[in-house]
Amino acid sequence: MEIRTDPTPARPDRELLDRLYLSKQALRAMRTALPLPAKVAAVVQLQRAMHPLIERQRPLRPWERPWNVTP
Amino acid sequence: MASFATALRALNDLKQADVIREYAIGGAIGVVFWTEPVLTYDLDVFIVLPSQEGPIVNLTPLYQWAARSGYQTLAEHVIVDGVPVQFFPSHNELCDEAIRTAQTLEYEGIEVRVIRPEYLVALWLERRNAVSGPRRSWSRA
Repeated sequence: MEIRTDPTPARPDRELLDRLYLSKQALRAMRTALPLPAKVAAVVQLQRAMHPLIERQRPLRPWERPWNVTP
Repeated sequence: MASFATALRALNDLKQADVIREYAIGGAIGVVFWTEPVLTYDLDVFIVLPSQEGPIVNLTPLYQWAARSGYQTLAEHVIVDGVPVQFFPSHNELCDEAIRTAQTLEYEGIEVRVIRPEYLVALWLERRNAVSGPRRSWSRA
């Protein structure tokens, strides 16, 4: 299959890159500032979302199950 | 339904019952206390055991405590109120220090000891290097 590359792809300027990375920092800061129970709720949400994906890739270890707990 | 807070309370009970001298939460949940939520399926707890006779670490008192408390065990984990908890006896001075200097934080009114971020990183690097050897860029430094 032939891979075609544009000889002059559009590049983001420094301002756009700075804005993108700053917004990433802001998102991470917001998540870090969450109350602990909200973070644990997010962990459980991640567990539920990732469980079927991990299961498709490799055998699950016995303890790798979403927690059935209230945060 | 079980609650995460109850699982944390059990760690304090473990210390109260003199099964361990001290504990501190590490691993990914330790990270969650300090930064953003990350995926994990277990709770890593680093512990200092009371003095024992002989060179072999004996975790029997820990498992007896689990049985008395009605917690099942599964593949080296103790299922405490629905949360798989893995207990790591402190294996060296770095780990001793990480546990000793852990910060007491509050979760839903329960005081829990959590390893500080710099020690979480140090323990993670130590483990990674033990498993796969130091990365080239690190070994050059």
